[in-house]
Amino acid sequence: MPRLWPALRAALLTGILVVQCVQATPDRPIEPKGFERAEGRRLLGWLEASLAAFGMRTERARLEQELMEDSKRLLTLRNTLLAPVAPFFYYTDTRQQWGLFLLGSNQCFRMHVEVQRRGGSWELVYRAGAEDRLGLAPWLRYRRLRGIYNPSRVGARRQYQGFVDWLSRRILAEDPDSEAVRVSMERLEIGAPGEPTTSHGLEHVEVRTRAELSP
Amino acid sequence: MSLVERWIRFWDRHEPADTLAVLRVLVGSVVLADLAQVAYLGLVEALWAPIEEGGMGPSRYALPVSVTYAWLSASAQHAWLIYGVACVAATALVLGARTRTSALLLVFAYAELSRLSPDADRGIDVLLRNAVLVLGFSGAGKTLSYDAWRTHGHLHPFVRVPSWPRVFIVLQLTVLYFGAGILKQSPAWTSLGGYSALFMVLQQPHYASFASLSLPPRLLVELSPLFAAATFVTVFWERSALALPLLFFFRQGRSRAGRLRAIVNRARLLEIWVALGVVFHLSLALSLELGIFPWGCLALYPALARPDTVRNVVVRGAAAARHIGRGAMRAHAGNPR
Repeated sequence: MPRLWPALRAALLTGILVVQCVQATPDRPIEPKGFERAEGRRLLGWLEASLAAFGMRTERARLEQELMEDSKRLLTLRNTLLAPVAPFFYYTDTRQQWGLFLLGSNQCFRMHVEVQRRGGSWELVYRAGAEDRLGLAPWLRYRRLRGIYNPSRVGARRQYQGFVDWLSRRILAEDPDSEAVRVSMERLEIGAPGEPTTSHGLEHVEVRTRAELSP
Repeated sequence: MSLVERWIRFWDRHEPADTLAVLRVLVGSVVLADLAQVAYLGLVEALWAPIEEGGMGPSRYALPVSVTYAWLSASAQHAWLIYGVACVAATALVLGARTRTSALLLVFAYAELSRLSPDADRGIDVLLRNAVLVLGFSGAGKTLSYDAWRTHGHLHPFVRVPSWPRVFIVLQLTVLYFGAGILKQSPAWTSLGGYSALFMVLQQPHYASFASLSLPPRLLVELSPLFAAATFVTVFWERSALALPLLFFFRQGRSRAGRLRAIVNRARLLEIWVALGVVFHLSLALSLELGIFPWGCLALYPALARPDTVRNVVVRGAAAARHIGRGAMRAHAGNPR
């Protein structure tokens, strides 16, 4: 007969492990565009082949539909199971969703910062990894700020506007000759080895004037 | 012995506290270094103050977002308060002063900073919070700490503590790497894109270091087969983390019988996995600007070492430090000015 405290502790730790395992399951349902990507099509092909090996043949469209519906059902179950411990995850801000170091896409961005002189002309003062006339790199290359300005797959991040306000205020305070600041993200497509990198133009262009930012 | 009894006994095992103490010092130091960098760059208010007082949001006077702001009101002063609490708690954690309280306080303050600037809170911050939380419930402060000095009269007493927190850290590493490996499905990480991910990353202006960006394009192309091999190894290594608990379990009980255990231990698979991890993270630290990411992950690696090994390293390190210190004092005494 095991002693009480070790038994209780083992039960408690098992419960924690189960909760963390549930937390580690996907927190988003499968979306139709996931099947449009090359990796999605490949995974679907593998699944079809696996099912066929067990004599279960199904149309691809139906398989996609079933996968999406099942993922929604699983997500509902996950959220129901986690509901009682949601305050713990909120107050500690801990989780088990790990999308670490997923860089490596051929699509990326390069930040441009320009200032407008009194005459109205725009001057480039910062271009990520290349130009830095105002010594902004120590700030702009810091991981927390990059997390704010670097666009995600779905677009600009929630704090991007606040970041542009902060950066513009900082530049205009240090450079009295500037009238406005323009921040933009150049979309780049990195070529395969031997092929050049292509620019697809500027996105998320934001302009702040001195008048706008004055208190 | 029944399965349930073996399960209870597994979670009731004890070991020297040194490994958890080393984890405490390393994890706390990484958090503290990052917080110090924020202050050095003058970003405390920019990151965490409400928008009305120069912060980047999302908190406002009318929308406090964090628990502290809801209690005390949203202001730059209170952003400094949360930041200060996080710094004091991280310092106390490193020193092992009131270890449990300081660890739990650090998790709360760190989480508050995350709520105040969610885009600035990255995966590595979540990992470190998870680790600090586990350490808070462990015996990490029983040695190499101010708490040990208060209780035993010296910094490095021999104390045995429950080993489950170290098992939890190993499981955390497993979920972290396996999850990251499984999510690497985009073409660049697979044969669909010729395993070109690392070749691409080194050209991303927001992430590549100046040294990487200044590499001549021709050299990059010539090295691309090497990057492809490194990409393949990275994905394979991350996904192989699923076997980490088994390798760890075999290594911990290496004196026990079993053919598979003997083969795995003789092949030194755990050491190979750790060596690949160290090379991976150090390469990232050199070629990309990822901040504390490589160091935060490496800070958890001592959990994979045997407790006796860690204790020996600590004892030898302390002896070497004492020897150097005495030598310096003798040199100073023999050369008075």
